[in-house]
Amino acid sequence: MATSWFICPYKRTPNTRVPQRYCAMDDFTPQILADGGDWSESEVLGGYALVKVRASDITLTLIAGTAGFQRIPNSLRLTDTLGSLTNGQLNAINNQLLAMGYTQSEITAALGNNFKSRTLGQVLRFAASRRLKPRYDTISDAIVLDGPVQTCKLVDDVDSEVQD
Amino acid sequence: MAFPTTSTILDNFNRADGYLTSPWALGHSYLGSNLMLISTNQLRGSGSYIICYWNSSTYGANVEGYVTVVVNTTISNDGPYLCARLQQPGTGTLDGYCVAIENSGHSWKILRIDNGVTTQLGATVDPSSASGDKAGIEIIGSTITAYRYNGTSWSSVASRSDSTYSGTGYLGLYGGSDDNAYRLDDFGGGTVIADTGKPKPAKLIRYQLPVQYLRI
Repeated sequence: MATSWFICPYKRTPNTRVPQRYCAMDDFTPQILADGGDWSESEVLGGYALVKVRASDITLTLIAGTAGFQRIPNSLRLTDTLGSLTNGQLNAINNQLLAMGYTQSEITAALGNNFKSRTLGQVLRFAASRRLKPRYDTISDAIVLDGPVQTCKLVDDVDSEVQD
Repeated sequence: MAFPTTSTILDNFNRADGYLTSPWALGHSYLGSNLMLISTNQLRGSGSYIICYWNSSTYGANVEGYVTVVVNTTISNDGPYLCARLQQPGTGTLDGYCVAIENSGHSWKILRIDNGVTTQLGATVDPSSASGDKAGIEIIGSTITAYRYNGTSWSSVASRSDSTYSGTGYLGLYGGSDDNAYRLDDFGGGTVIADTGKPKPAKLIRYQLPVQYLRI
């Protein structure tokens, strides 16, 4: 088995009167558990989650091939630098941070212009800087993430909950 | 620390059929206004979709709750929930945590409530709980744990960490009405009784001194 970090969205739980959302990684819980693996998440800005997964290579590849899921390449650990990633892979991470709702100014101020010298931990801890409190909009039947800032679960706690 | 540390049954529902009344109150309504319904000394859905809370007292910050799931619901995503550390009930901004027991006991989830919206924390768990088992929730600090009593003993089903809501809060229940065949009973709980960590009394140990040390 191997471990890998992913960025994935939250999904709306179907067929429930209560407005409910879940980390999309739960769709793969049966396969992950069948592998003897595990996963843990930190909800971050924009309705995304940083997820560490321990599973078989087949399952990790399956997850990575699913729309909306971004796998951090090379099974990097938090202490590894991103120096082994291609410019395309680094841009993809930058774009994911923008999609979360961080501005390029914030990203550059925290991580610099080039992520290659940064560790995965530094990037993920930045991604877990904040999230916004959900509410339900009855007119649009949507869960809206625009409330007060709330703290994210520590990336290091997620890391320790899923042992390599 | 063993679960639970209390044994207080707050409501055994042994009274005439009808909607819950004080000290139960409306925590958050998703549809309708009637609280859950007592039927033959047990609790069920009422046609409304409401989180009810026990308004008699707040508990915590460290808190535990338990309820007997006399009959499991057969559906996947409509509760019932056992809830704790509920805050701002009745305001439209209910926050707190719940354990959902769904899908004939095969889908347990730990949920965080934000303004009435629920977010599942971590994976769905299948403890294969049977009708007649009890469900428990324990919140100590930022650790939320779901427990199951299988008729013999309590065991942990899942634990999640979330520090969003701390402090005292209310205990409560959610009962949807997509399946009104489920039944709950013996709702209870309270503030977790901490292990005092008092030192155990010293043991008296008698030594037999060797003869050469005895003075006569």
